[in-house]
Amino acid sequence: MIKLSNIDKYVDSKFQRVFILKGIDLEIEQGEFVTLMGPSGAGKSTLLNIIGLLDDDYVGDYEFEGEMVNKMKEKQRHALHKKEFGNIFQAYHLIDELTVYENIETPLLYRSVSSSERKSIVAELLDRFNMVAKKDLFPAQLSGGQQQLVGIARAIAGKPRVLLADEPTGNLHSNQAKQIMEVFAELNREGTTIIQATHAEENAAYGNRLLEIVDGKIEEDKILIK
Amino acid sequence: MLRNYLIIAWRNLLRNKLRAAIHILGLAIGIAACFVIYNMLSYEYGFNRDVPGYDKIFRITTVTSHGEDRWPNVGVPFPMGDAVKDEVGGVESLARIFDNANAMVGLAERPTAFGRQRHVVYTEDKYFDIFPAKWLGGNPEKALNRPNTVVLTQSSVNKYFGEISVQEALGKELIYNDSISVQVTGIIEDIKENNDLIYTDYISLSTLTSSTSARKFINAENWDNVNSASQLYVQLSHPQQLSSYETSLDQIIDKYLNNEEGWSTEFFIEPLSDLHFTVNPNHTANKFTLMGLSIMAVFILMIACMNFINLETAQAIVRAKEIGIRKTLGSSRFQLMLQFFSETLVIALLALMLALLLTEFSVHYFAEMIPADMEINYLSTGNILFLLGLVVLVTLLSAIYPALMLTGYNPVKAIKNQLKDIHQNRWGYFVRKNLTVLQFTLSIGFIIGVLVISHQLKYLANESMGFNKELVLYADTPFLDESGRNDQLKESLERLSFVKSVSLSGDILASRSLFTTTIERHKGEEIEELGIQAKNGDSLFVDTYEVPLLVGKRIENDSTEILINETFMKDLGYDFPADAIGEQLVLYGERNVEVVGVVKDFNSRSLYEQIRPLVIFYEPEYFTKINVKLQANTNLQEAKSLLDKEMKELYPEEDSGFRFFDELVANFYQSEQKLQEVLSFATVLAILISGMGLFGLSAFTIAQRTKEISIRKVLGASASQILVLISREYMVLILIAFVLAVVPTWLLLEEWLKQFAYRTPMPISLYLLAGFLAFLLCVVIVGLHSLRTINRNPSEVLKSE
Repeated sequence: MIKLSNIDKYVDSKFQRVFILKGIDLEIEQGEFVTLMGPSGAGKSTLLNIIGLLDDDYVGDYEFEGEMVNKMKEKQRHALHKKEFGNIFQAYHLIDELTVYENIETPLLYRSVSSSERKSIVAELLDRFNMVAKKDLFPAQLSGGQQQLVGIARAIAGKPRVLLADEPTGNLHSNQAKQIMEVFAELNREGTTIIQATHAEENAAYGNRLLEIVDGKIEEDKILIK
Repeated sequence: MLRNYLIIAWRNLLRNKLRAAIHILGLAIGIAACFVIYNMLSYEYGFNRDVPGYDKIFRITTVTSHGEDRWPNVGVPFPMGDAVKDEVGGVESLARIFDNANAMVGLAERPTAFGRQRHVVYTEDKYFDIFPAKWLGGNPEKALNRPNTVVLTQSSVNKYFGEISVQEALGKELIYNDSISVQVTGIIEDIKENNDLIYTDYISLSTLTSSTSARKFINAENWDNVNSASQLYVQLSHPQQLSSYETSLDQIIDKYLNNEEGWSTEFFIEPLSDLHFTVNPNHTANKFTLMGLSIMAVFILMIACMNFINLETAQAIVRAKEIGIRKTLGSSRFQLMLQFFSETLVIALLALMLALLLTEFSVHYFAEMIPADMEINYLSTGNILFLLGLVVLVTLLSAIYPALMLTGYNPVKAIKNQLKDIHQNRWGYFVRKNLTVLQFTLSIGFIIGVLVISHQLKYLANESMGFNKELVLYADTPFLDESGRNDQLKESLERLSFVKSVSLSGDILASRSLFTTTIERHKGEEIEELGIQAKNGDSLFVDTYEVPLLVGKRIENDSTEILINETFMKDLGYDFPADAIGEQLVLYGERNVEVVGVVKDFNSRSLYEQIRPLVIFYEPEYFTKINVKLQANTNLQEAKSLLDKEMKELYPEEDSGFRFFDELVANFYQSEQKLQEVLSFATVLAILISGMGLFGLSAFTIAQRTKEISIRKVLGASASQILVLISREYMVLILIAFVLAVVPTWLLLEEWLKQFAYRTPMPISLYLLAGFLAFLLCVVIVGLHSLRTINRNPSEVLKSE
């Protein structure tokens, strides 16, 4: 599904070129639950952003379903991002001015989903995450775990095939973190490809593949068998 | 989608009440100003539009010049009408009029008088070909084709005869100016208010041309005399080819006018569309003023838009996170821009609502600056289109830059708050600074304008005009009064104890009217013609106004004696007043007169104009004014009512009564005072909006620097040191704005001052004062914000960071 070949990402400062990613070769199949682990600054987030088409400033080839992403035009890339990817962030990044309901609805608006269909999708998601009673609250009125659930609901509202999560439990207590990871596992069982970046060892256990990233390189690629 | 945009727009407004209030109030003021001015423009430019053949109708006007002096006049020599009729081709219709503003009207049967009627005119049948009226009675073809007939408007009929039918009114008799008896031969509907030629009584022109004395009065044969009352309207068949008509007019000049050495006359063809801006019986509008007002309104709106851009880009970092999230959720840049535009549209629409309230308020509050008959019809198509167009324009102008800037962010960086160092933001900072400078440039420009104009007005008020305007009252007396009542009135007023002197004259000493003619000096065979301004007055005329007599004596009520002023004395070639005494001259080419005295120069018009060569002569038949000088320490109101009582006894039909001369003089500068008022108002608005902008901007930037301020405090900086640190960057901006404002305002004001013959030198100190005021404003606004931050406990700030 996703195939990265020899990806480099660097910044040029005055006297030297600093590599953030160097020589990344990676293939991810549909239905995998991949965990990227490594110390801060190793390049996990950068790799996620490149996979999620949010960052196009790199060298190397990126194939998605056999199509060369790095040769695509901005518009095609934007359409691909919209269709296939959902993002989840450490700091949730809900829109503060919108209610829970409206936050979940927003990606559907950008996908021109009809009003009645939007209603049923959002209602289904609220139901699934037990948030029906909270649908009219604003993000600031929710706990961190609840906010992240909204974040996930929002990310999957558009039915993406790939879910990208950058430190999804970084701001949460362990109980909340556990809940979130269980949701991920369930989504993965239903067929969604998930790629998460995390520090936490215990989160990796929910996935079926572990990539160890150090200094912009993949140090280790393990298949986890449950 | 749109609903979602609007929801977030609305919640954003509620969340940021201060910012929203600044935006809405600022834009509302700008929109209201533009809206009012737009209505003024469409009102003033809408005059005469419903006259059929609007583009084909013209008035012929005259400019007489001598060297550098130009004497424009909306009238033409009376014989001009016939000359044009005979010698200019392509004239479809032609009508002469003789304007008789303030004519006295009375009934023939009973001694009932209606006082003076403002819009009386002598004219001929053809007038109604050019300016068609709706006839209620009488024959349009014949109503004015014989002497002593009058066509009245419906309202005049009702005024004179009460509610009577058209048939009853036809044939009734009226007396104009106590002497001209006329019969009503036609009745027309009232002329609509948006016309300049709003005459109510049309007397046949042949009434004048068939009487010998009237012919002399209107100078029916004289090509040298131009009276602004004697006007000529034409309807041209080829209005596109004005130059060929001008050629024909030049031929008339060559044929009939034998101009003296140095003198020249030109005729101009003035389109009906210009009538409203030159001289007409309705009110006149000033194009220059209208343009100035429009520019001011646009500037105010621009300042408000700049505020918007400033505050929005300053807020960019806050908004950036939302933009970033939306991008990762799949929003395209276009959709984001659309969102931003719809947010701005919400603000603009709220501003529009407030603007309508402000308009209603300002129309009442500033009624005197707005034409009296003007009404704002909020639901007219033009107004609705204008307002919607303005809202769209304001939205685009305000939102396009912030929208482009905000939506251009890289979403990854935007979400992670890594925008501080990226290129776009530095550009935003640059734009913001420039807009602040521009705002303050405009504000400082406005302040300078107000200060300088006020200064000039004060200068004019204090400048001696060469006479004493205090304790003088004047009143109108009937024209061509043969009953000797003028002298009776003079005598009875002289008997009053509080009256110092009484004088009869043709005009008051200083007024808006101007009577110019030529006087001849015979040197053997050679005749030298000199241009003069003439005033008709009796022996006490100069005494009443305390114009100093330099040498010689007063006129002894003798029509062969004249007084001259110093300027004319120099024109005659004398350096010393005494030398001019005894000079023999010829007035009107027939009357020998002798200079018996020289008076000191005085301003007989506003201080716009240089003093002209002047002659005061004695011609009691044409006296129409009575001037009274009171004793010192007289109660003015009491004196006026006693004078009015005396007047009423002799002239029961006169209703205007005595007026104060000093008030008239003050009125000379009415339009300047109006300009000053409007500009002051605009200045207050400009400062208000700019101030609000600076308030919002500094609130934001200071909030961003809270941590820095706290750290500096911990390191030992004093409050004043921090204040200087924060204000410094704004001070630099004000200084740049000041420098930018000085040059254009200097040039503009120099141009304005140039129109005054008596003007103050450019007051540099006022420029500095304006700069200082802006500086002060800035210090107060930024200082207030800074102090709040400075006074916060640093430990608290740093803990939460």
